[in-house]
Amino acid sequence: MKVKRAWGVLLAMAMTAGLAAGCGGTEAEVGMPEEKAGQGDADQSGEVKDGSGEVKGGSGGGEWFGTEDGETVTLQFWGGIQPEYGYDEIERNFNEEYKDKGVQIQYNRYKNDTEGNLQLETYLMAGEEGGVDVFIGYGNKSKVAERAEAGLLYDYSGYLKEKGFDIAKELGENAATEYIFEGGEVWGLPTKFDNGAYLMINTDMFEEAGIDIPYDGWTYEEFLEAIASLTEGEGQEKVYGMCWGFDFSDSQWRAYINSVLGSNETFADDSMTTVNWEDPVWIEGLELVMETFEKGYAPTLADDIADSMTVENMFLEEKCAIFGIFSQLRLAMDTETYPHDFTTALVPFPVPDESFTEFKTQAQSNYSGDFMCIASGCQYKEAACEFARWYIQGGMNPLIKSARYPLWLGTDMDVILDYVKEVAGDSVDVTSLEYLFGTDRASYTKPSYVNPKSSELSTILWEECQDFLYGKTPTAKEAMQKAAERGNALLAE
Amino acid sequence: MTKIKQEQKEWSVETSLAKGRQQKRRREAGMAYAFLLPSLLGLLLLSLLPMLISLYISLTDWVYTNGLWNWNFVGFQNFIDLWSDSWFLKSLGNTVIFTVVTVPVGIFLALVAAALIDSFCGEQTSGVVRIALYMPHICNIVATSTIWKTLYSSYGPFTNLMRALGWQDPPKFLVSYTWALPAIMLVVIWARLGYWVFLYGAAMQALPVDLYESASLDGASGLQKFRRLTIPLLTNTTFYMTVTGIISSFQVFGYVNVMTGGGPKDSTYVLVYYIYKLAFDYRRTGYASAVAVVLFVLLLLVTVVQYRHNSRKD
Repeated sequence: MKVKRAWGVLLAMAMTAGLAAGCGGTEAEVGMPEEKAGQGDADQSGEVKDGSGEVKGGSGGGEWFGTEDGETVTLQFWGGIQPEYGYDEIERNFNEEYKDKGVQIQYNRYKNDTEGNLQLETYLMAGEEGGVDVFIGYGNKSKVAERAEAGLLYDYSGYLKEKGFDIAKELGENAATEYIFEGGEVWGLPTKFDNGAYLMINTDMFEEAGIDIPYDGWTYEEFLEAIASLTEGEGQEKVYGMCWGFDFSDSQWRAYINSVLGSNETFADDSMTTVNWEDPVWIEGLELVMETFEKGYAPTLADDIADSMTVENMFLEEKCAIFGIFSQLRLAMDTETYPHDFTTALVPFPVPDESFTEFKTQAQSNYSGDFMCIASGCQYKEAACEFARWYIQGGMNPLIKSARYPLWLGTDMDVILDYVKEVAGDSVDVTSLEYLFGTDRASYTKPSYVNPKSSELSTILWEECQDFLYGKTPTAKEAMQKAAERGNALLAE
Repeated sequence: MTKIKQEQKEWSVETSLAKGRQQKRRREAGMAYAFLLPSLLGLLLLSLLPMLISLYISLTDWVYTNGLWNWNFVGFQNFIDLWSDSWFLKSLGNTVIFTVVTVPVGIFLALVAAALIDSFCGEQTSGVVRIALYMPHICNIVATSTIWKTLYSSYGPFTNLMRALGWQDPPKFLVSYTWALPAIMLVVIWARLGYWVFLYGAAMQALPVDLYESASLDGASGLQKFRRLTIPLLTNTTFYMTVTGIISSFQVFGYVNVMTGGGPKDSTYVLVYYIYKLAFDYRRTGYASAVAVVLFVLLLLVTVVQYRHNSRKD
């Protein structure tokens, strides 16, 4: 009887322990991000630093970033890009350079979507136990501000000041204006510049159709003429002049409007009390998209979504000549994984007409992003700050493989171009990159607004655009009026 | 004297026996509680406590990233705002339509399928057919949704089947304002069918054979026996399926999230999908909890109806 009872109690305890383990869980059990890279390079135990590196944690300016008792620390670094597109190399380079300085990094990939960001934030909320020390945040300033307000981020302005890192000089005046918050805090700094308003074009198809590559920009009219010439065939054999990529992203197609309206794509002014969706640029922009559908120059929204079109593959298979999502240049550069023998160039999105010349070359429509953030729960703040600085000041260069170019003004762009040539060979038109790199990088941070209703506004806008593009609302003007009414009502709540 | 001693002895034996019985009962109760403890802990920590927290959060303006206790109490404001929120009303309406269609249609198809299997399939064949029908129910929702997305595409097998059946110009189902919700309903009915056929199949096998024999002697046809005997005798199973069907229809999320993402526009928004959008896209955790509380109340009502039905039956 006693034995039976003992077994019963033991079994119950085991079941309770199992339940408790289920609730808590180790890192491995609750699931780390989907990929881990280069674990072999990271050394948890490390070596005791020799006499030369005696400055220990927190004092700054020293060469030792590990623990006070001489152990090397490994920072968990999260980012949204597959490791093979540059992060594995970054990890190797940093770990080699800092192997005697008490800090190593380990890269973990998370997905930059709702679920992935939720995962990141859950880990950040877990503080020291969360397993995130440094991460690259995506989205806009609103996202950084939300996380800062929630206490998830560490303000590293003090470290930057101590190191003499002048944001205005290192990343441009605009970056300083935008990303030093009101109280002087730095919650995250943009690391890359690129331009969401650039299109990827197949230069071979342009040449065959006898169209000059519009390095210096073009108007809607010129754009429509070009895609008319580039569109050919029918049915399964059809080659489209343009692919908007709605299934890929329901917001990136708007970059060509953003390129002209800049920060006022959403809000009419700094007060953020009214939306700017009735601006003629919006209406003409939507009409342009509709015209490409109606004339068969681009797959319609319905085709794109219903058939889950992988437009990046269509571009690589030469089923469309122009593709609107610049970040996918990494696929065009990766001829090993995606074999193709044509050259891809980057050209600006078209502007409504000649009166928009100042925006034509995209000098104003610049964009920066990939925010380097440090988790408030990070135990090794100085090491994290050092890695952040290292990353911004050239450490991130291998990300050229994923078409991410450093914002840091100290970057020698000729070296970057050489690197592109080396990595991409003939798959990328270097002349077009020279145009991109030739713009004023000091201004490569567009002013942005912090508004807690940004996501809802974005949903409203997309819903009304869908109504027009699916043919439910007869005119673009009417669609944008409805969107503006709903947006303004939301802002007034 | 001896008698008194005898009585005392008997009393003492009885007392010690009673004590022994009491101790045994206590031991057994202790064992039972020990076995129940894991489940009770799970229920308490993973269901009851979150439910209470959620109820409280619904009265606040909480944003989940701010951490616990960082909220402002807003009273019933979230519940008041719901009724002027077009997304909520659309989600509620769609959820009700979804339930009203999928449950009766699913039950009807399951009943017919189970009756056909019962009448026309041999023992082995019926097992194979039931398992084949049951497979979708145990398949991963994301996988089945992705497959159905392909089936519904412009030149997908389902769309081509519609063409073959004479529908000249079938719509692009998942991007159609009219057809997207019915398209998802069809998938849900298909996924549930096997499980319900199983339930009906089991219930049919337990039906009293003598009743059918006497009905046959009275000259009842097969259809009459089905209408007058089978359907009434399956009432309890049907009731159970209706209640669980309503609950699971109110909780539908995965199919919507993968197949349409609520679109086109808001035409496939359902309550749980909207809760997800509110909580994680818009970061309005307090407001999302208010929608969750409304959903909870609706499901509670359904459960109360089931409970009363069962009590009456007992």
